[in-house]
Amino acid sequence: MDKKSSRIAFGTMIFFLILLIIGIQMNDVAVVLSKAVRICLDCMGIG
Amino acid sequence: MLRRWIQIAAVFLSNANWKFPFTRNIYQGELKAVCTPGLNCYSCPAATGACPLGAIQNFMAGVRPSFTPGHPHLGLYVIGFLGFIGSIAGRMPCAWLCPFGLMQELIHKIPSRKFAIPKVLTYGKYVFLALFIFILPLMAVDEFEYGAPWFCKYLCPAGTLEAGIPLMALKPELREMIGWLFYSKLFWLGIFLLWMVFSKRPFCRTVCPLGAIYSLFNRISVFKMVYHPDRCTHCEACYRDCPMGIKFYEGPNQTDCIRCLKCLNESCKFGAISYSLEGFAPNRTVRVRTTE
Repeated sequence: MDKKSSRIAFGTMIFFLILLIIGIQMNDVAVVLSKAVRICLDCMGIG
Repeated sequence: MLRRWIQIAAVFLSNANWKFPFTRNIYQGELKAVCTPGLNCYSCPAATGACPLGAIQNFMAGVRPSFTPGHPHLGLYVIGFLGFIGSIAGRMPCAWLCPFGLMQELIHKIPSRKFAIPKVLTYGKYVFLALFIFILPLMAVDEFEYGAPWFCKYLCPAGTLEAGIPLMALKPELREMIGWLFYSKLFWLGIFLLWMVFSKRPFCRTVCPLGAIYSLFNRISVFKMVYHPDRCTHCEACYRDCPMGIKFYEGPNQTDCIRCLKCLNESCKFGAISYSLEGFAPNRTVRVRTTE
């Protein structure tokens, strides 16, 4: 594989890792948790 | 065989709350903040993680109100999580870690006449991704500016199977709320279950927005499939065995390739298929086998 495709692969990985860290910093984890611990009536088809 | 064991392990790790028949409720521990890489409804009574698709839709549905108090939640945690996995492995989680994918493969083993899926239908998953995961939850809002998780609400067969049916059994009070929406979701679940018998992974190939997200990374991920045209005889053994109905020789990193490695490990006898990891030694496993 050439250097360009390696750079794209690792650049993409770093970019999304940064997004993930920013999301954690913005307290997105608590939002996910608050939704996931409640029964989702929409998911069941009765929401 | 290794893949099957990893798939089974993933099912049990994603659904490790086996106390649910006694608690008659879903798991509510802190692990639920962690997204699972595969499609696994977080309202399944056994689920121990969060469904990334459900999480993204909820972020999209709540983006507008979240701006009002000045703490916008854009869902970067989930988008970053999926992008990070996708940029490493592409669509590999579909083959190795998705409980719904495993179910489709097992149901397809039921003896019957088998049918190919027209190529045009495989673009449907991108329409579902754009419309049902992003645009409609973001744009179709109520008077309080909240949207709805459209994919979960109107279509997701995993939600019906893993959450709807078990929770109806566990919580009789919920049965009084059943309406046309539940029956329409049951209908779609039935359609997909039937389709799984006749075609390979129909949900993954035509509808799954999670597979659509991962598929965008197949060509640029760290893990890549490699094709050796000089060794290929076009015998189509890879095509016959492929759970996604792909002709590998038409392109080694097509968007529908889930990197199950079946073609490499079981189908190709000529060493025409291998894989590489960007930044590491190329073509790490070029396997050349004879047929005697």
